[in-house]
Amino acid sequence: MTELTPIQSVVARARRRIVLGALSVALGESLLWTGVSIAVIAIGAKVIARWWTPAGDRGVWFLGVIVGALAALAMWHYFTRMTRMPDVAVASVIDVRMKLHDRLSTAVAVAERTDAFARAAVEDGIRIATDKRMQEALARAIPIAAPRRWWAGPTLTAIACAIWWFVPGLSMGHAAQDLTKSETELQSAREAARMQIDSLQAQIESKPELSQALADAGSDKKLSGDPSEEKLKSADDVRRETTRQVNDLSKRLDDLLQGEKAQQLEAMKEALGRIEPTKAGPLKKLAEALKRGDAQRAKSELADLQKQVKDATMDEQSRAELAAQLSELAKQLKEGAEANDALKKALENAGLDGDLAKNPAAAKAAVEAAKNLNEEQVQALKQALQAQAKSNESMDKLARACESMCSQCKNGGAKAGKSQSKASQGGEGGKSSDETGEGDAGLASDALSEMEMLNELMKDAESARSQCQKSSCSGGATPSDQSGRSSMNANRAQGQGGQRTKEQTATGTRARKEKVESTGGDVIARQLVEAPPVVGESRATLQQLSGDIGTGSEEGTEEDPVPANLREVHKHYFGDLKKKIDAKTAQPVAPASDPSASPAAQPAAQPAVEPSTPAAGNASPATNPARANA
Amino acid sequence: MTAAPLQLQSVAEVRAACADFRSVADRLRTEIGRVLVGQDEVVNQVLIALFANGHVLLEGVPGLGKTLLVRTLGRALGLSFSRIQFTPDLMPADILGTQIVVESQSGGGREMQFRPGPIFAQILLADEVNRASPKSQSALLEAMQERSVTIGGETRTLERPFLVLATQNPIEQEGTYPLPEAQLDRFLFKVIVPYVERTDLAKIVERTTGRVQHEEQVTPVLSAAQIEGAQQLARLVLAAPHVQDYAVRIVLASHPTGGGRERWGLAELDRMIVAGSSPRGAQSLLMAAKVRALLAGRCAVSTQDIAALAPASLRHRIARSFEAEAVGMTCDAIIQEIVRLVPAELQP
Repeated sequence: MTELTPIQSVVARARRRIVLGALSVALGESLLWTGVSIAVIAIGAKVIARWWTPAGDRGVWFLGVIVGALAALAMWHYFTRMTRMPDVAVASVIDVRMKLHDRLSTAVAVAERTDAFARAAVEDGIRIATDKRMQEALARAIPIAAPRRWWAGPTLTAIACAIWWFVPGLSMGHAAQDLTKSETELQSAREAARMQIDSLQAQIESKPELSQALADAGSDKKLSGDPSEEKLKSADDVRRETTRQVNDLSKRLDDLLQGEKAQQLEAMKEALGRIEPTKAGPLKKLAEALKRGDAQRAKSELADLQKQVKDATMDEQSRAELAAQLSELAKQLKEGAEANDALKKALENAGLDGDLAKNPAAAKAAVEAAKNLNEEQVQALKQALQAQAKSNESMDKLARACESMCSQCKNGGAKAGKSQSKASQGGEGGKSSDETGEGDAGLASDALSEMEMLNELMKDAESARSQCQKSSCSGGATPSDQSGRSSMNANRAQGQGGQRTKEQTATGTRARKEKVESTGGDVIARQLVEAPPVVGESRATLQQLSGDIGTGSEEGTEEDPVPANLREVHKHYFGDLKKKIDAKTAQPVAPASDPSASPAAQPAAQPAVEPSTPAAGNASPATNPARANA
Repeated sequence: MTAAPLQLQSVAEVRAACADFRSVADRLRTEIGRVLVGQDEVVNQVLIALFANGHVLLEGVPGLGKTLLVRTLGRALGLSFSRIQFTPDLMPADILGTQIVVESQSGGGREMQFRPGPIFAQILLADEVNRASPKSQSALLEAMQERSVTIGGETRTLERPFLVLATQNPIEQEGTYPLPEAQLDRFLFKVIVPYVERTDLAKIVERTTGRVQHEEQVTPVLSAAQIEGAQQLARLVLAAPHVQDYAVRIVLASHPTGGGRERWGLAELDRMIVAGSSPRGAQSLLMAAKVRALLAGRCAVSTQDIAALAPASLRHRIARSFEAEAVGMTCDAIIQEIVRLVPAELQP
């Protein structure tokens, strides 16, 4: 075999140049196609819509990278193919490009042959390969240069970037975009609704007393329906449904907070609030705890007191002092129970005699007989009666416990000795006295436990209601929206987002609930007012009102212009109103209506008569603070 | 008479043989040039066909020197030459020869004696071959392929070298019989004789109207044995596998269903071609390319040789479609398109 080193050298050099040239071309093509792809995508995204960019705004770059990667892959494939080209193929390329009449490739191809023609061909090839001009000619024949239009790819990419960042999107295809956006919004709203509802459900279910109370009140603790269900087709519907359900729950919690249990607790607190604690003595702590309404502490103090009463080592003086204080406390508890302040106030507000509170049976009969009360008011009063009765029962239990302990104290030393001896002899007197005392103490403990439970229940209900209000304010906003808002309102958490809405502040503001008549619709806003609501009867004269109506209508027209076609009607109505009122008040009330009065003036003329009409009893809406408040 | 097999053992011998070949061809070209003015490419192709041992179909309008070329070639080669003017009433016996009854030379009887026709020459000029009937045209078939004729059940070998140079007029188609595909395929080349250029025409006029008859000055420069030696040398010329593959790809590309058509963008030509070249076309192409390489002083064929000779080798072997004829796409145009599209580089 003939030595082909010169030819192989030329072939190797040519191969390098071919590969580099091919890489250059492939790179140029890759850049071009990547640029074209990105430009097309950018223009498409701007002109048509973004629905076909899989990752939204970043889609153009994703696709650009994919095209670039494919081009690079093709380039790599081409590169490896070129590097694997056999020598004869490379020599053939050289021959064709340099017009060597296939001398090099023939030499490579027949190098293994030994016949004379083959050897002559190899010699020819070597002679060509060793020619001094070969290297220069090779460089000319197989150039390594930047590909043609290499600038096209980067230029297109730059144009695409400029389009993407600086050209505003056109309106074509916005329907599809909006559709996608609304679907996304719907999903977000559903998710947010589900989260809100689940959160409220979890909060209620984590409080067994609250859950039970809602169940006892006849309202299902679970929220009705699922706002995230598929039948709600828009995000607004989902938010509206969420708000409705949350408001519904809030209303039920309101009912609970204003219901029998709340009234019972209020009555108990009012009764206990009348206690005047002794300045010193063993009963001071118990009396103070009771006055504060701290049932837990009172329960603990009561248990301690019972131990003291049973303590045989107590001296007579202390025992006498304790007995006196217990007696005084029992007396105050009874007085507090008999005061029936809450019920008395409710009866008076309903236009009934407040003294009826002392006699529940008579009060019940009076309530049922009252004709000026509507069904709702009757039910509310019955509820107040029941709450007061339960409160009184609890007070009575506490009073009896105090009296029992008082009697034990009075008979403490001797009775303790007797009871010990009787107990040793198997007597029954001491045992029955002890059992009575322990039974009363147990009842008192139950009463305090119930009060404690009611306290907890009301707190839980209030907390849940606050949560409902918070959810209602968020209006089914997405979690991200909520987090944004919460961060914005971080400094105002107590005012809008916290659960301590009823905390007494330095200004003396106290949240209070007024019984109002709702119209049955959804509560869309609530506001705590730092003043007692204005209640009572209007004493303004009709003449004053007529003057205010005239000036008010003019001011109102200036602030909020009336449509042109209604201006004459408006002017005529309010202009004639004063004249008609003056005419009505100048002459006595006549049964016959003024034939000249226009039908439009009738509703306005009607109030002119009402103030002069005697109030229809105490239950008229004007005198009902609840209605006035509404 | 057959020349002894050529044996070349060394590179020097090869180079010497190649040089001799070239000098002989040059001398031959010079002798022809004494008579024939211009038409260098035609002469070159005729010489290639001669050394490739192939027949030539010369096509051109009358008066371009086709007959003169052949006659001069015959004189320059020192070979026996005959001419047949093909006419519609020409019979096969007029070409091949016939048996006649003659008096026996030994006396007393008569015997059948074969009188050879004009085909029994080493260079045969078949003038206006398309004017004879197919029956007469087919009389050439066996002679052209087998270099022998069978007459009266007896096969007679023609003397070598045997070269048929047929001419035909492309314009006067009235009353002609186009050569059948089988006969066309026997020709190595179909050479188109172009009209002479101005300077050449001036020389022609000058030479043919003067007192001296230049044709008489032609002397034989090549014997039959030398021609056969040259033909043997041509067969020894190297054709690398990838070069040979190029010839094959060119020929395959002339077929409507040939390989690599989509790859090389040749599918557009499918509707222009009814039938492509036969394998004989590939043989002719490669053989002619070998001679061309020798004439260029090379001992190996190149793809450029193949590309250069593809039109002459293939143009009479490709059958055009009606569409090609309608749009005026000639066989030459088809072949040039094939040569342009089929890559000369080695293909995997």
